[in-house]
Amino acid sequence: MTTTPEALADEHAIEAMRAEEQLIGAHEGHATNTGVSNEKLAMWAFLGSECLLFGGLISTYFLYRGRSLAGPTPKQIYDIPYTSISSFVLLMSSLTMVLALAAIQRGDQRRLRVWLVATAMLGTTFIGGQVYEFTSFIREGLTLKTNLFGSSFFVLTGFHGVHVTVGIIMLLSLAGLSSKGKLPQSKSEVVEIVGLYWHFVDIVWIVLFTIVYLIPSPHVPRPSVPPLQIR
Amino acid sequence: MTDEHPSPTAAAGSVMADPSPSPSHDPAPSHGAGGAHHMGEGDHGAHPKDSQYVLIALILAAITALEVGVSYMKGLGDAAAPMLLILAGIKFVMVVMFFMHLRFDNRVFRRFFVTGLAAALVIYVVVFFTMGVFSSTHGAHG
Repeated sequence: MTTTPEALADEHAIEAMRAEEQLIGAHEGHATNTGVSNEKLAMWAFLGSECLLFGGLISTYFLYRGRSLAGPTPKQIYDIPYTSISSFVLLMSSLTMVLALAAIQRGDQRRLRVWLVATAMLGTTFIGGQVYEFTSFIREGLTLKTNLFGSSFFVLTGFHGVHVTVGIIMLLSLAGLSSKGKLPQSKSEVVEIVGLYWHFVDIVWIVLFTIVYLIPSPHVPRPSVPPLQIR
Repeated sequence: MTDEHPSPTAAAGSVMADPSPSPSHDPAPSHGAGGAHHMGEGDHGAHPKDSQYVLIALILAAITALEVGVSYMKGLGDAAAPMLLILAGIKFVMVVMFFMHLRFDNRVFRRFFVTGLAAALVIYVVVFFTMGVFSSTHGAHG
């Protein structure tokens, strides 16, 4: 099979284009219609939609605040110092996450893995704390079905916990990829995108910690009449 | 790990020479058709250093401690809730701007996120008004 000079020139041109694309991709410039990375744009769009999801859950919690007919009430069961430590742990995981991103952008694979694993460990500590909190609340008589507070509290914080757990899985996957040599400096955007998700989970907790735990519930005492019997 | 690509400086020089236009209407479109990460056209500045990230985290931790302190102050009365919301807002903005790099990244990302956030705020404030959350009877007759 013979190759014409024109075909050879085309091949060279294609190779040059591929090399240029690789070069661009390596340093986070993007030859896309929007001029920005599609993956990163998709993550920001996803996070924008997540604002609506958590907004709905937070609103539901707000609507049900102080409306429970029976206890336990937030004041009776919240352990603010304990939750404050959990919040601090999650906040610090955002620091380790951003340090992991800085490490891969420098091409420092060892530090990347250290910070990724540290972030996953801090996330696991937070989830462990949440599991302990849920267990102690259930022991004190607050379940998903006990009252409006229980329903809205467990759904809201449980959803957040699921998000943290998904984040931990992604972080450990990245650490695994890095240790296998499949996460070179040129793919630092993958870490950045997972980092965006992780920081989002952190900012959601910043809001939840304030609204759910710190701002006191305006509990209005109910008149002492029996609840309506629904047939 | 080997990096098969040329140095970032060389790459930046190469990609910045790329004449393809960016569709962004920003005066300084970032990463437009190949802006390099640290010196792309739309980057509003270099990312913070590690030490600056640590400083930001310490400020966030201090604000959290302040929040917890405020929640225990009985004398603040009705002022406590707005104060706590402001402190949470400061933490939220700091994480988004510095840790999520929205301050330094392309404005398109900021628009996507702010649109979702604003939509959520508007929709749920409307819901609150509809459900009478801000009326004095909320809770008493709910």
